[in-house]
Amino acid sequence: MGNRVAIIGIGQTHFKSKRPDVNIPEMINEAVRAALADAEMEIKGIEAVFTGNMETFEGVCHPDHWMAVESGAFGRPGMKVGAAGTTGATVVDEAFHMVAAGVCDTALAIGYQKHDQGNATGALTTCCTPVWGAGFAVGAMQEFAKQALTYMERTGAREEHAAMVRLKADYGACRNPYAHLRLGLSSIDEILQSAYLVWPLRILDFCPQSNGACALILASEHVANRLSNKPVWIADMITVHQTQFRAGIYEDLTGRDPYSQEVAAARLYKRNGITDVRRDIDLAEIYEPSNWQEMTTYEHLYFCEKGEGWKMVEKHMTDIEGEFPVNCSGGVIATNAIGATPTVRIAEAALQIRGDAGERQATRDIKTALATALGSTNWTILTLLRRSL
Amino acid sequence: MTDNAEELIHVEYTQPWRYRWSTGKYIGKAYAETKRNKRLMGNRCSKCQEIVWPPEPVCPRCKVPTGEKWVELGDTGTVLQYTYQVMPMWDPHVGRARAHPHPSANIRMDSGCHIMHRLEETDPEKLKKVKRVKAVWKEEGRQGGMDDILYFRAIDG
Ligand SMILES: [Zn+2]
Repeated sequence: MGNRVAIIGIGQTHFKSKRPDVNIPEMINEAVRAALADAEMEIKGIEAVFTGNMETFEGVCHPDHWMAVESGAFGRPGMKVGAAGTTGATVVDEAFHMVAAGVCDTALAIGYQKHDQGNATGALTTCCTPVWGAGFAVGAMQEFAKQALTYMERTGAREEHAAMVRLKADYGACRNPYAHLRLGLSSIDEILQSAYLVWPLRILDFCPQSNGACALILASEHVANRLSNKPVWIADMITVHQTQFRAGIYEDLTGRDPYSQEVAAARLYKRNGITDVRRDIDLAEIYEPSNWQEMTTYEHLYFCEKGEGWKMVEKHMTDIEGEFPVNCSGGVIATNAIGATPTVRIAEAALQIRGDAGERQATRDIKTALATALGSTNWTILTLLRRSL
Repeated sequence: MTDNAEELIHVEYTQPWRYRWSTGKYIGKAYAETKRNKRLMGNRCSKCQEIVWPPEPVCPRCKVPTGEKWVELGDTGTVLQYTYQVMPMWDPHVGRARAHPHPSANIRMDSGCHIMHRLEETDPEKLKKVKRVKAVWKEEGRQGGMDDILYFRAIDG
């Protein structure tokens, strides 16, 4: 490993379904200013800037050039990165590598998405592989639905458990002033009465398209210790890629199961001495594409035995007040500005370690947290954060 | 900010994007086979001997060049899982909201390959009994690709 790196500034916009009042650079700038204010820094203290989004969603070819002033990139090095749904964590990973390598002492990482001005579905048509995908229209939602059905058959989970996950997410979102969907759901019956879109997925099982940005300031050890009284240390980050349309490989029925998460988690835990996940990690912010997948993600990340994710939900273990809180923020199902979503996971996990998560702060003390990112053909990035190294 | 800040002006862009993607050597071969010969062809990995589907130059399991040993997937298989759309959803491939009348299924072909396709049966109760299936090919208008198969029809045993 290289030099030690800490998060010393965290900023995010309020996520909303529409932001017609700002353009992309202005929206980015809100998050950048919030992160600088949080770190009590000025932009002149930043040495490099990394930005990323789901690029073609807004139809802008060089968004990083457009926003060079508002992002802070003007006169500095840095780059735009694109890795589909993991982009928001990839920008942090790039900044982490630069600081860890000693190339710079401070770096700014920005993830964003402005869904309201583009054509996300049109852009997804060109998603990998446009040839095979365009030739045969079986959407991702159908695959998620089949995964949910297979999960129920294999493990004994019921639709009620997915509803419990949705209720838990809304409980967190209602306590998170930055969250997009804050529905005020009061019971699982409300969720179970919402209509099916693709059996057995319901309207309330779907995440919204949000607009917003999230910015993190990373610093080397000596700068972090000088500038910050509550640095959150990046103990490790790991990336694992997967391929697409490989149903049947890795005992995966649909070819969409995130095999990459198990590989990434096993490697990350091993090299960080984590042998009992729920003992050695206190909280997680996970990228859950749907409430159904939150339960399987617990299993892929070894939070529990295979087939037992739904039991953690049933026992309320992952509630804000639980012994192993997951997605106190409300998660992706409440807020999904795709390019910002993984950055938000890391930001929210870091806020929990600082004790700065306000009403959504976990009841137990959080010293170590895991943030995940998942994108496109199940590429995975995991980030391990600690209050002290 | 200004006197007329409440008027939020947008700049519209309406030019359609047009692309022509090369199918490539391997997908191109598979597409030509569906179009001309109504058959699904994959390539067998020279190392693990598994059929790579969709066909590719590198085996995802072994990470070695797959070679040119082409084999038929066949037309029959077994349904492993299926779902059906209840409400219309936006379909990016056709650019409008639609509920596909035919349920989406994951099918294990008798050759061992897993494929995703549609089922002919649309009745939710009858669907529960659909296990063994056979591909129904388009007789006309095949353009290459999985849409050259209309859907999979239930068969006995
Ligand atoms: Zn092989």
